[in-house]
Amino acid sequence: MTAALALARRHGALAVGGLLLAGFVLLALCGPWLGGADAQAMLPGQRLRAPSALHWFGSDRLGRDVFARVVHGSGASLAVGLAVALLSGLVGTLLGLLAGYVRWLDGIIMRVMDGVMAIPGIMVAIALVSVLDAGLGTVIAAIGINDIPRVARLVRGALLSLREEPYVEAATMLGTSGAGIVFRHMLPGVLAPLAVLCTHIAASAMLLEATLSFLGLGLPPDIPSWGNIMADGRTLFRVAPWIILFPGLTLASAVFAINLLGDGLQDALEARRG
Amino acid sequence: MLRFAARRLLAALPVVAAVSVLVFLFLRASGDPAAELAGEDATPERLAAIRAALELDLPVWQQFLAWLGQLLHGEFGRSLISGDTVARMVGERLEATLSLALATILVSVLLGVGLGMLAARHRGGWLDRAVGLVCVGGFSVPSFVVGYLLVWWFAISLGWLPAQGYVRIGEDALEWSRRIALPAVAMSTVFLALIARITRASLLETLDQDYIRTARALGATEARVFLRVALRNAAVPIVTIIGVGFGVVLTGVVVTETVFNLPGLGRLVVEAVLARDYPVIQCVVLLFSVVYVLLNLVVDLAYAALDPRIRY
Repeated sequence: MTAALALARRHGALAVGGLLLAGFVLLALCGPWLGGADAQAMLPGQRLRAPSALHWFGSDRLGRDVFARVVHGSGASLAVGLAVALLSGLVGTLLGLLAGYVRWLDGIIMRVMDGVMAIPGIMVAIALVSVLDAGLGTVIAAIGINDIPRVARLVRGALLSLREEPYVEAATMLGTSGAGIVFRHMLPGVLAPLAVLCTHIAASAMLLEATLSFLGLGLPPDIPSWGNIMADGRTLFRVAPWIILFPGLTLASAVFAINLLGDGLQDALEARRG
Repeated sequence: MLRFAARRLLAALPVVAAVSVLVFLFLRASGDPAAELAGEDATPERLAAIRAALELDLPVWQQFLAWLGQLLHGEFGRSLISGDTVARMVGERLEATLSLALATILVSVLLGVGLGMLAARHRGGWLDRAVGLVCVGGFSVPSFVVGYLLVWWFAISLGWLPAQGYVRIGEDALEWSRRIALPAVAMSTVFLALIARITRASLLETLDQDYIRTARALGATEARVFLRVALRNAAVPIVTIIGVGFGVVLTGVVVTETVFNLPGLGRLVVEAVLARDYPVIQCVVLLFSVVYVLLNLVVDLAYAALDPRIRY
């Protein structure tokens, strides 16, 4: 506990980001039991109300409480961030390990990665979403593909430099199998920078999901993700700016928390390494 | 320099090839064009005839080469919806997007380099921290939310600038700049943060170098050390990030054009996706990707010009 406190004092960004994010996760998990207004309840008499004590974030054109919808939608937005980070982290690590360890695969894998990286992320996502059916899985895959090359490059680069380390040579000479060397001796050395990269991937994935959903190219409209709530407010912005501004600022603070956490993590790791 | 440029150009070719294969596969994955052309109740014979006419019965690699040949002849296909050539549609939309992108780059480079220099100058102080916080904020707020905040404030509350729409620069340059100002500032937030961060880091690194101490020892004024010596040597990473950041600008273009109702390529591609107009989507994706690759090539060449030590 005292160690954690000392760490928090030394790494303010890490602590603030972590606490904020924990708050958002708690909100997403407990949202349904928080009581208050129902996210789907339509109150015809309460259409397009400005923010007040009753409707903290105002109400939309169907009389739904925007705050309740933002709480309800936090799960979807956070889930996309987490899923994209996990997906691109796992696939990218696997490809990076293959490229870094199996020499003849290196050229092929890395050229394909260069190709994917050369297509701007939103274009990959737009192309995929236009071909596949709309859904949570499609959006996660479409966003995740962009980040796979970043992970693969990081892992491959680290592997190439680790390959020359004496302890890896020692393990080779002791007759450890290729897979054993990669997973037991080399992978742990990559985990720290990988964790930092994955936090930033989660943050940018949440932004891209909101952007796609806002454009009508993301999650199906019946999922009240933050992007979808904002998409609802697009034509009404002059009359009811709160439908876009409040979910937008909520999204921004969640992404801010994750970015702060990533930066803090990086500083902490650099400090440890000296 | 020429040899370096030629070698760098050759290195970009496999990337362009990989991109075109990916985009071609995307077109194939998007469905059977013969079935779409023939309509719902086509006989198998008619389908086969259309397939033969479009050369869809050839092996995939031959189709790919044929498609590549058409691209090289400037044939980008026709819209499935309006029947217009895609080249014309893209041409009409180019001006708005180009205006927006250039204005964004201008705003972000000026403000970003300025903020980065400010932070580096006051390293560790509260100004440095404030700039750092602004940067993390810039990475965290989606550009369309910034756009709506600006519209709400400057267009609706204050009434200083128009909220939406575009005027061609040839028609009325003043009105054009009034229309482009808010979207450009909205799009700048991420890019500006990126540039400010790199500028600060890069400046701090160069300020630690021995030649800076030498310059100071030789009696150069602080302003001269900062602007002439340090900034020039810190320029390479800054120029790189301007190239890399084009991807960021592009994401901004797609969504910002929707917020401000600008008739640009971003709007075009969103409309095309909503209408499943595949030739248009394909063409815009390919165009943006090729421009992205070329831009990074130009950036690499700019390195060599900025820093004579860099040779591959």
